[in-house]
Order: sequence, then structure tokens, then C-alpha cells
Amino acid sequence: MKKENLKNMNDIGAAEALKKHFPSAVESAELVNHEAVVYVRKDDIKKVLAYLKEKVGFEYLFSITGVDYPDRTPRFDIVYHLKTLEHPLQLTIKVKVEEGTDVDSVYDIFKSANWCEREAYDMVGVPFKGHPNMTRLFMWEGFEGYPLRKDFPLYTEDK
Amino acid sequence: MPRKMTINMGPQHPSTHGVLRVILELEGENVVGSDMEVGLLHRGIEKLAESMTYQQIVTLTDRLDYVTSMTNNITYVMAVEKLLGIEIPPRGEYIRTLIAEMQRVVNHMMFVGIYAMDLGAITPVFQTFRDREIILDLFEMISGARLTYSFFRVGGMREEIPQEFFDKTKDFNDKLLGMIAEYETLLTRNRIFRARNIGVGVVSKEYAINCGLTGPVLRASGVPYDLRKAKPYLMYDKMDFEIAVGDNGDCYDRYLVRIKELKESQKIIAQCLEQMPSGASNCEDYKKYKIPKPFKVPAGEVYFSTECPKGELGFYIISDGTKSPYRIKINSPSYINTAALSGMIEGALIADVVATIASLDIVLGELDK
Amino acid sequence: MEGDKKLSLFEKIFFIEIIKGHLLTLKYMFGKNVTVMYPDEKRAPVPKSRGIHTFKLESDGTERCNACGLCAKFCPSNCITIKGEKVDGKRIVTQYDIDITRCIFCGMCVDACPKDAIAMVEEYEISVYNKDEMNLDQQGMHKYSSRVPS
Repeated sequence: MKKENLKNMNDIGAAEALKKHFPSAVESAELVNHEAVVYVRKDDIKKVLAYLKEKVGFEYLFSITGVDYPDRTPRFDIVYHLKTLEHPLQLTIKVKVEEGTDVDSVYDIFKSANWCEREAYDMVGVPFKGHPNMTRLFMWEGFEGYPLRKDFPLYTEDK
Repeated sequence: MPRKMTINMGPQHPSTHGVLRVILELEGENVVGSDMEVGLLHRGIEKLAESMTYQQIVTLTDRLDYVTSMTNNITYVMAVEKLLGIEIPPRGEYIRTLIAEMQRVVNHMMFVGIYAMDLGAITPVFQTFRDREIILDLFEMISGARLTYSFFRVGGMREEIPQEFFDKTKDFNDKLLGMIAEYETLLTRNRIFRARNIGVGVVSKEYAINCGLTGPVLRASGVPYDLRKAKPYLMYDKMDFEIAVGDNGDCYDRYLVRIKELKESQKIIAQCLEQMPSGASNCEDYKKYKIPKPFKVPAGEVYFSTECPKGELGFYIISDGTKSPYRIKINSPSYINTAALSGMIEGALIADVVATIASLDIVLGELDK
Repeated sequence: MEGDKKLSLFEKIFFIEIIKGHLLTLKYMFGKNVTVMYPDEKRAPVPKSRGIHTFKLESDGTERCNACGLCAKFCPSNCITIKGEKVDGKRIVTQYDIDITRCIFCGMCVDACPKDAIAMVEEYEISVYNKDEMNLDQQGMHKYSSRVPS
């Protein structure tokens, strides 16, 4: 997978090339609706993102999200959205995380991960290891629970 | 060795554009460190959306960036349409392009006025608000509201647009260049305005990309990235326009980029009006998606983003095949631009902090979600 | 960018840009006012403007609403309470409340109504002294009925 080849690629092509380069780290690469979704093993996420940024040119990380699937083990998905500025290519990279474990922070690779990781921690409660300031972003200090988990109630009874 | 002092700017400060709290560490008048506290306007839009049907969420998107509700509506409905696989007839797409550009004009007019006001110039805000009013009246004519339009619906729009709207838009568009010239007379060459702007809040190209900055802030740093050209949506591939790019990445360039975009929007509006086809503007089986019947969306996920006036607004929607989304993530431009503020104001004077925040053009409703 | 050029010596000495700016503002001293002196002077409401709700009535003055509850179901902020009962084989509404403090004036209740029984009029001055009056009941829904065509 090289920078020069990106010109003739589409999203899924880039995802498959990534799988070819990291056969063990990348669990699957498939097209869901219109998005190229790549599942990466949790321990390798930093390695894969650093490679994508430095060697391939996916230099623009703009969103990190947590998604809760209460019936599944591992329970959470952390979703990274990456794109190149030169070509219209975009990758959705996902990591499966079990409740109570943490993910490596990518703050030292992408500065934009600063708030995005804090928001993901705030909303679904997956901590990021190595982030310099792993505190809540939107909710106040001492807030209990994680609002975007599915078991967090939408309404409370204190009316 | 001067004593360090920590002061609060905001949340109740007129130039933080809402309820942003910036904690500044000062050495004399120089900023040596800063931290931000956000979330004072957090309304849990992402959580609320999980309990609403796809049609109802349109009203939530109005309240993200309340200056540019139309583009928020368009982005959201297009994300859902992509998930459903709906095609909109050309007239509908032209109308969306036209209204998105008019909304860009509104936003940039508002920016020019408010930005000058933050720097201490009172006059331009009267000029820009007077002209902005004309478009707000036009939008009120078609949607019935002045800020929270809720006009676009999945598969089409709330009502047909009368011919009077196009005629009045044309009248307005013919005068637009004259209006922009007025703002430029007041600001662009003004020596006080230039002294407050040139070389202030400089963002390098590398820092801009690494922080994921977006919109006019990214382009002012010399990155020619605009979703309207990079990934054309709607009718932008048929329009003839240029991307405004700055060289230095300072506040003055961010102002110039927006002035240039105003002029480019004028061109696009004129082309839209000229090429506007006749025919249907809603999708073929619009009845299926109309209120009051909620519709189901096939399981899957989609990320769709458009170039909103403030930058790239994206909706990441995960559907599980029911009437409401499983998860919605809103990727808003103000949020990602504000996150990079700490690096921009390091070493600046405290008065320049005001200029830098204002030049990012943030709206806290969108930042806090 | 184009506006980035340095001020020329000529401009610097003679304050050209300041004079131009002042001339522009001077011009508006003699022009027509664009501001509207609210509340002495009122802006004409735009037709179709989404203001306060009202019932649409049949030509004989009866309500069209048959208490199907779609407006309440579709309201994004859940501010409508509706109850109905069957009288002489026809469903009529017995209680209709809109909590105006929660209403976001999105107009979805109007769009949702299959009977076209509810409308919004261009009334935008709805502030009151007492918070309890912000509840629009069935009686209140008749206040502007004459404004909308039946």
C-alpha cells in the first residue's frame, strides 16, 4: 500500500490493501452500505493508524466515536474516521473493546484526537491509555454513568 | 520574573460567542497556557435522537448551529437519503444547492459583522445585519420561520417553493456584490483592522491538518480542501466557482477567505437561478417518507458530510432497521476548530485571544451538541 | 491573497481608507431608515409564518379534529395532550392542551394532521405575565380560528 497508488483506488480498495499489509492486525475489511469498514485488533490500533498517517497519507483524523452494543462481547466499538486531503478517500476503522478495558490513545499521532477521545470516554466510558488529560469533556466532574450507553435512561423520575 | 496569573474568560463573556469558558494562564499580558471548559450548553442531542423517528430529528439539527439551520437540515436529510438509497430529482438538488449557498451568505455576513464588532468596530454590524435580514425574510417566506426552519424533509421538502421566492432572490443576488463592496470599504484596507489582524493567531499548514481543522480556517492556512470540490455533492460539480485559499493562516486571511467565499456564493446563486429546471422537486415515492407515517431504514451505517459555512458537518448514522437510529454521531466544525484553540493562542496577547476566537466563527450550540 | 497588499505611502499619509469609510457612513445619514421601531411600529408578519396554533373549523363552526392523536404522537417535544370520545358515532375531542413553554414551533403537528384540522397563524407576540397562561387549551385553540380559511 503506497501513497502513489491511492490515486487509482476507491475506499474499499484501500481497506483491502491495508488488510494485505497487516494480515494479523486487521480482522476484516468490508463494504457496509457505502463505507469501507475495517476492524482492527485492539492492541494494534496505534501501529495501524501511525502507518496510515506516515506512509499512506491518511493524515486527517476527524472523528472518534464510541458505540455501545449491550448484547455483544466485547461490548463497545470505538470508531475512527480517517481521510486523505488529496484524494476523496475515507476509511472507517473500528476497534472492539470489552467493558473495563482501555484502548491506546492516538493523541501523539493526531492532535485532533485530544477532544475526540475525551468525548468518547465521556459518552460511553471507554478510557484511553496514554492520553494526557483523560477527563470528562461535556458532562461535569462527578457525573455518574455514561449517557450514550444503551442502559442509561433517557428520562429520570424526579419530576 | 513576572508573577503568573490565572484568569477566567467566560462563560459569561460577550466575545466567547456563547458559553465557552477559557482558562488563561498569563505572564503579564502574554498567554503562556490555556485550558477550555465546554459542555455548558450540552443538551444531549445524540441521546435524544436515539428515541426519535428519522423525521423528527430534523428539528434537532436546526438547533445545532442555529445560524445555518438550512445546511444542517440538508446534511442530515442527505445522510438518511444515502442510507435509504433515494434519488432526488434535479430541481430538488438545485433548490438545495441554492439554499445552501444563501445560507452561506447569511453566515459569512454575520461573521463579518460580529468579527468587526469583537475587534471594536461598531459600524459593519449594522450593514451586515441589514442585508442578512433580506435573506431571513426570504427563508421565512418559504418555511415560516426565521432561524429554526425545519424545512427539508427526507426525500424532499416541506412545501413547494413559490416563483416569487426565485424572483426576489435574483433581485437580492444582483445587489450582493455591492453589499460586499461596502463591507470591504469599511474593513479590508482599514489600518486599525489590519493592525489587529495581520500576524495574529497564525495556524501553520501542518498544525491545521494535524488538528483536523476544517472549513475557512483550514483553507486560510493554505490547504485547498473544500468538500464541494473534493467530493462533489448536490449540483456543485456543475457549478463554476473557485476555492478561496489563504497563505499565512492568520486572522486576516481567515477574514479574506470568507469575503472571497461570499463572492463565490454570489456566482453559484446566479448559476443556480439560471439553470433551475422545472419538474418535481421531491423524490418519486415521497408519500412513503411523509409525516405522519414513520418509515424504517435498512440496517447499516453511513457517514455523510457537506461543506457547511463553518466547515465540514458530518452525520455518522448507524441504523438497526427500526424507525429510529441506533446511534448518531454529529461531527461538527465548531467542535473540531475550538479543540485546536489552545495551540493558536499560545504566546499571544490577551486582546488577540478575542480576535482568534472570533475568527474561528464558532457557535456553541454546535460545539456542545 | 489580493487584499493582503501593504498600504501604499499615499494611502498612509492621506488616510484614504478612513475617508472612504466615513463617506460611506455619511451617505447613510441622509438615507431612509431600515430599522423598525418595535413595539411602536410593527413589522408586517409574513404569511405562513409559524406562530401560535389554532383549530381550523368547518363552515358551520364545528371542530374538524377527530382526536386521532397523530399530532401528539409526532410532536418532537411531546407537548400535546389529547383526549377524545365517541358521541353519536362520531369521535370528538374533549381535551386538547399544548404546553407552549415546551413547543418549538416546528409545525410537525400541522403536517401530521390527516384532517387538516390544525393550523398556525402569524401571531408572534405570545408572552404573558403568568406562566400558567402558557398552556393553550381547547378554548384557546379557538381564539384565532377566524384568521384561517375553513
